[in-house]
Amino acid sequence: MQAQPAQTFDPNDPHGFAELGEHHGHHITSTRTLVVVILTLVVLTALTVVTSSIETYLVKEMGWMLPEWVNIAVAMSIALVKGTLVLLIFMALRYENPLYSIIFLFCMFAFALFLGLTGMDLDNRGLVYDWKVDSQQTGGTGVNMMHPPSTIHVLGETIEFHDLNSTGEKVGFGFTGPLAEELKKRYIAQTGITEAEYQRRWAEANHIHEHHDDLPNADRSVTRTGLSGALDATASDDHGGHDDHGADDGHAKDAGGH
Amino acid sequence: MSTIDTSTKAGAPGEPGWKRYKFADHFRNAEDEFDACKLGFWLFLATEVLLFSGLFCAYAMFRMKYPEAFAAGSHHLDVKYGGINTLVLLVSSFTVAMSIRCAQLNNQKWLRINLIITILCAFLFFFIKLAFEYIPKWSQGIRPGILYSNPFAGHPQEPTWWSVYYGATGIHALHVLIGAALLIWCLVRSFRSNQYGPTHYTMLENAGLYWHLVDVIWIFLFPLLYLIH
Repeated sequence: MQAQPAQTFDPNDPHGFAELGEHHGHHITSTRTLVVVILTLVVLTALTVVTSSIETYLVKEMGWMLPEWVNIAVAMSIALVKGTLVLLIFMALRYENPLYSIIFLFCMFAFALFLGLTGMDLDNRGLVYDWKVDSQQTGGTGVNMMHPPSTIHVLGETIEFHDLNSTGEKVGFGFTGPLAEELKKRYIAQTGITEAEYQRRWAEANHIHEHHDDLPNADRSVTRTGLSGALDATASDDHGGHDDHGADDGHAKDAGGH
Repeated sequence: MSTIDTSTKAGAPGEPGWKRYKFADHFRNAEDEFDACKLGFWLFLATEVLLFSGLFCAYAMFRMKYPEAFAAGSHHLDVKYGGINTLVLLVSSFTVAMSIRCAQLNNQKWLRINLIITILCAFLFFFIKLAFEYIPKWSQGIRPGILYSNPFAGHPQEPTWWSVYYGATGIHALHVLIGAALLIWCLVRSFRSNQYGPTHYTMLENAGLYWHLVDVIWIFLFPLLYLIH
């Protein structure tokens, strides 16, 4: 009888598992794909910068009133496209086991929860339900969240808050407000300059330059805020010799009201 | 240029490191080991994203509360350097993806060249950040949190903005250094024993994933920090 031929023994695979499992080779991204993606990313980066300067131009020169969220929305959508490109192609999420994409998407979901719930909490900090008004009290260490302690210790010294709310009690808004004010006071005390000189240096340090071009002219209109004189006029102003007075007031208000 | 490289560098007799690599016993085959390592690393990347999501959350909440302070603070940042840093990181992402491709095709020379370019980009990013942003600001007294000592704050809450800025970019810069360290280690192993090749490049792949994540984080940080108006 012929003995069975000896099994070929592969020391790298003693149990013969090589036949099992999927044999999908590792995907090799082509150079062309990588180059196209990197060029797209560079273009999108330039686009992000350009759209933000377009927006600044529109608000400053053309006087368009763009709401705050437009800046964030545009910038974030371009950033989202860029991030997705990097994730899908550079990190090869597109070519691989969908499990990795699921992990990443779940991570994004956790991030959304984090931001969303924190935002909802913060937005409603001042909210007190009617049925809770009577039983409202400070919690935890007895420090009220809306009215933090009125003295803090900063830079080795104790600083008093100087802000008062409508009922005259001292309130604060974190330590950065008093910190900035305290630094200004120390600077003025140390250098001995006047308030006006401080304002001048402040404007220089913050790159703020006066521009007197914010009046409307034939080329463009500039949005005005505040009441025009005509809106102030009531029915009683029209009676008995107040017309001239009312018209003068209106003109005076228009000229001074920017 | 995909010649089979069977060089025998010092300390690596015989076949190159990637050919001599033996996967761990408890896996069925090398493919399973690669997939398992990659899965673990993706889970780790998810935790890194959550770390940065804390910073982004702080940014979002404080920007909602103090929008003028954020706008005032952002004006002190130069978009030029932020843009250059973005381009540097994008190029480095490209070169690290190319180096992984070279490993898959057994092109050892270009694998190392691409890794070196990536590491140089990392240090360039860190240098630009330090020399043109951190050091000038720090010397003006613009520092995070309680260390803030600039008397010309543009807005009472501007120190909060600077805390967010230093926190976010500082932790990101730390990750750039960590990523660079991982890539340097890969480079050293490649030089020592040609460790990365078509059948084994797990460490390089994972270091590359880490680097891409660092790049993605910066892609989101750049418009949020530099382009507020």
